Amino acid sequence: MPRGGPRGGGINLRSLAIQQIKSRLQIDVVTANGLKVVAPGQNFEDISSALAQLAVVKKLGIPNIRYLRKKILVAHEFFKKPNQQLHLNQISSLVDHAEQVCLDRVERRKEKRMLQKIVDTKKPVQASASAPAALPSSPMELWKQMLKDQQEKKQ
Amino acid sequence: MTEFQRLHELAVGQHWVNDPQELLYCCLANVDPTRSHLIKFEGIPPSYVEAAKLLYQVVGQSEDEELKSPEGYDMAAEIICGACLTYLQKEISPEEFESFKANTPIRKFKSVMEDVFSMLKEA
Repeated sequence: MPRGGPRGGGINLRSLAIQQIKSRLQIDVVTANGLKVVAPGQNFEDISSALAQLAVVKKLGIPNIRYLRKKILVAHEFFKKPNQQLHLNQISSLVDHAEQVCLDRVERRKEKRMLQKIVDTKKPVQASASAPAALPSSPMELWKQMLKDQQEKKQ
Repeated sequence: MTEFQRLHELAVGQHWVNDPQELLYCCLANVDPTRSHLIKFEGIPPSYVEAAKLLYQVVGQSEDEELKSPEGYDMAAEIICGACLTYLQKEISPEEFESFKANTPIRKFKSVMEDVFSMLKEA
């Protein structure tokens, strides 16, 4: 469950899948001979595949991206073999990409809101009689047609 | 919403505009009644003369039910036509105004006030 309790919007397949992937990303640390190691039963393949799976989910939000970064950092500490580090770096670049996509999305949304605001405030400004240069057009063509219809009806 | 519904709404509907000249401006400028409160009214420019003449004609000659009140009164048409004449009187020459009025006959409106007066007379 997300921090602060359940969020609005209901449970969909996507959020269920993310929850399941996250449950596979619990990295338990134990101390053996004064050294911190990953608990027995947890291996690099499982963790790295869960990390990669979460990183490629589309439309990831900032909280999930931050979560992934934290987990990758922890994994970097415990899996020091060159091929493991390489794999983690690859997943890290996937997260970078997801973050960029997310920021672009936020930017687009912000721009859309700004444009919508302009459109919403433009109408009353245009309708103001104080700016003769930008007079709103009268529905004259419609009235002409209505008048024509009225006259035809009378005849 | 039809055009007559828009005009009726602006004149006597839920979103009615109190000032007749502001109401006329809203009619002429194709203002959505639900947004009429957002208008910063500072007078009607002279460029609306032709539109006002046409509006006077359309509303004044129409027998459309959408312009009438549920009881059949022509209050909306009365108010709009009155506002048109006030505006035109200010914007065009007296001769032109008289000739426009003479050449643009409108039907007789069913006025609520006339009914009230006749009821008082009868009483």
